[in-house]
Amino acid sequence: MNHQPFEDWLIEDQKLTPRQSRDLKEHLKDCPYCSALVSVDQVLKNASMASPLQGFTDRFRIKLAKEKNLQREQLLWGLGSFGLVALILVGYFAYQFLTNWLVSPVDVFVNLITWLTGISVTLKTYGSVGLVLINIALGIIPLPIWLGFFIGGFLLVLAWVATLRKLSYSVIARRLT
Amino acid sequence: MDNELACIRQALDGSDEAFTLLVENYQKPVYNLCYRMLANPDAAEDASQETFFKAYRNLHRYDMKRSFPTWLLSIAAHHCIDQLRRNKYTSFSMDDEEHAELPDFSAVDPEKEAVRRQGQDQIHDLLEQLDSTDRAAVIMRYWHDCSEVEIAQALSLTVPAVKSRLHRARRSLASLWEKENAHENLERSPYESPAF
Repeated sequence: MNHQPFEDWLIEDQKLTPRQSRDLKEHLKDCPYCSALVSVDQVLKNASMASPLQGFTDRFRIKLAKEKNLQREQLLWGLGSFGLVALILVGYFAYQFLTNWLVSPVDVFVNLITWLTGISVTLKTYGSVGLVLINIALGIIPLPIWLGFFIGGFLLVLAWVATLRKLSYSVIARRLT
Repeated sequence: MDNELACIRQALDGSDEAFTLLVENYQKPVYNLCYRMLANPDAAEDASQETFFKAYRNLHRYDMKRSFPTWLLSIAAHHCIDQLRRNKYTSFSMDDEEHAELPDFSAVDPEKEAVRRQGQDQIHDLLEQLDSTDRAAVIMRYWHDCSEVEIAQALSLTVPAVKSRLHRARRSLASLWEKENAHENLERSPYESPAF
């Protein structure tokens, strides 16, 4: 019998008949490669499980608490800076509004109405110009290109969000180590 | 098993203590996989901690129908494969005192301990020769008794791919073993006639 069937039996962990087992034993005496297959198999099967140093769970618990604190800290910092910017903006507008109000409330109302009317007229104009442009573009550019454009845009946004997520995790991981 | 599911559910509800119980239960298999993959105790400790962090963050994605330890091993294996690709932790240097495995001071029999250490080195030397994915497949098969289906799920491979990777890995390990043994025999009897 040639070498190949023995190698296949060993590699595929085939269940052998008593006759096949006898043949294999005979073959192993002369074949260093098949003996090596058996030896490696035994070494790996008998290898012990490695254990971490004592206190692994405690170290995890400490790191977890650290990460949670860090996240809380980041959230507080984020909310704090957002609140501060909002406060500055509100303060600035409130200051202007109040000083104008104190001088002449009628002027304030007139300015406010003029400002709101200006905004609505501008939006309306942009809207009609946009509609005209879209109508022209729809006639010129075929639908698949539009689809491609929107899908591409969507994917770009997704990639951007994923990058932000990954970067924020890596920052946390770096601060933890 | 029911206890494990209860712990997972509690952890999903926000109980850190329940998740810590899971860490306690599975620290050994996760660490073992990382240690066999990276062949470095410090790197294995970091990788196992990171594995549990990833599991903690992504616990909501865990499919309760799948085996939890296999899911953890999958995270650990992917993490280690990434580490190996990024940092090239492929060589295990016995001279590197900083990273050398600490001796087991509780060992009663120093001779036995020496043999055990030698065996560990031999295993590292063997595994080191394998491609990182093949290495993960071999470790999951031999140390964690994972089926080919579980290995395929864990490593995002097909079952035939796992089979062929395991076969290829065993063949290359056997060749290496054969070569080393031939070399050792030559070293032991350099002037002996081949007839003896």
